[in-house]
Amino acid sequence: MYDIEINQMSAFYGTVCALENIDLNIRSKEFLGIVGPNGGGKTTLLKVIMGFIKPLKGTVIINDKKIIGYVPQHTTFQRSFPINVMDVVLMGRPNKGAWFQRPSHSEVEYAKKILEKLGLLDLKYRQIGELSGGQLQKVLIARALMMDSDILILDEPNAHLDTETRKDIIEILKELKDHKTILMVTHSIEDIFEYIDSLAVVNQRVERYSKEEMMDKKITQSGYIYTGNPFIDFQSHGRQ
Amino acid sequence: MQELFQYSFIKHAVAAAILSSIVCGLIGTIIVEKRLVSMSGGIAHTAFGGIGLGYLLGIEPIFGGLIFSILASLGIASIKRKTNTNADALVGIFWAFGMGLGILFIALTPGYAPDMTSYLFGNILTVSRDYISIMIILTSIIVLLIIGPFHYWRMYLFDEEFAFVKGLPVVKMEYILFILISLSIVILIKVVGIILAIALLTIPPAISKIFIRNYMGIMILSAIIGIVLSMAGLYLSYLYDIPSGSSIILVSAISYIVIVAGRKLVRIKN
Repeated sequence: MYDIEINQMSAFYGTVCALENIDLNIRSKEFLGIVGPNGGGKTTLLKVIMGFIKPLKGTVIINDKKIIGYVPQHTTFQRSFPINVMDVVLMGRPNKGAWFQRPSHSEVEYAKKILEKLGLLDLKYRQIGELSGGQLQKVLIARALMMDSDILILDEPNAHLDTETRKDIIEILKELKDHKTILMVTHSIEDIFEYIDSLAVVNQRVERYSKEEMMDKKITQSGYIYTGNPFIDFQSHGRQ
Repeated sequence: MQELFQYSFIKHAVAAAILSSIVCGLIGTIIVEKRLVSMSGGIAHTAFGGIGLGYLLGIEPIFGGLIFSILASLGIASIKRKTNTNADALVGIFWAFGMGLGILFIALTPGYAPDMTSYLFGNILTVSRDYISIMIILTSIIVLLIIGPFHYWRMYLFDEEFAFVKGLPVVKMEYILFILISLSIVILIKVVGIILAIALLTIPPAISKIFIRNYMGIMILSAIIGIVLSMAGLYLSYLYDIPSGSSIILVSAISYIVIVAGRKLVRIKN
């Protein structure tokens, strides 16, 4: 059973084609790594899956109305926004559609539990502008965990972070791997190579590789797994 | 001071200052945080076209201003979403188009040309009882629609994509926000005028942000600061017989400069 089914999907920005005739099925509890050059359509693919961008043609189906959790890049945030860590995490609680809705005691306790697990409990009332990039990225992960989603979508959560924080984030994903369907865009495939089930190379089109295929000589020779340089061979992958 | 309140126009002016400060606290904070200052300036100036049309058709000019500013805000939001046009360019077009139409409509109005100074620069002392009633209705709508679903607004303002993923109707929210900005500007037109409205929307939140770092706190403090500044401006206007709109704005701007400079001095000393 697939959580996400994408059939012959094309997406455009104005007249510019970002993604063309994409077919991609993602199994339940699968961990899919997504790589590709800048401007290749990785983030567009995530936005189409989340429904933020409507495809011009083709279909994107999220089966069984699964809840999607989203972790954007920490660098895209306006750090001066007046909000503290706890309030950001509590944004992940379920919408009840009511006005004047204050978080319940159990929701606050759950948020604290998540923050404790991520080592952020001491920072719960800290303004986001006072956090390091790594801390903010973890807060955004905590917010997605608060949603208790079936599918977790992460857009380069390990970009611009120090090695230690990247390791922490990978540890979190390792724990989630068997419980959620995970889609993660990254430029550092070596960080998650050990844990992913398959890899999608996105460059206007999508080429997908299973773990076995990734271990194949053809893929390893392309360089983006072991050299850590994702740009070497992307131009010849995906785009036909 | 007490004798001042014997005059009904002073009572109306005080009521107008309080209502407009509440609006400035709520909407001004959003405008500053969401970086919609130039957009709001564009909406305010487009309202001038509606005021001119009001004179031409012989209806209450403020209703014309209300319709024009709402249409302008929806137009800017809609064109921006559908065409990816640079919002700044759009704002500039609407800004000039609204002013141009206003001047044309006033020129076409039969008889003597009306004095537009009070709409451009405001005159809080001319606020009528009927206008106060309109202000109360518009302020109530704004307060209810911002405070009620506040946690949704905060989510949308902080991270629109996440709000979308959570199932919030972000496009509708954007349109509602722009309509509320339009209502706020109409409320401010009689108080400080089209040209100065943007200052009253941005200065109190800018001062509040210096002291508070909680979104709702900034909104409440902005409203309080707005009341204090507009009362001080109103009093100085009465005392020195100077235009109330400019007096309120000058007091606000000078207060901001003094507070920022004072804070820097304190930091240097410490």
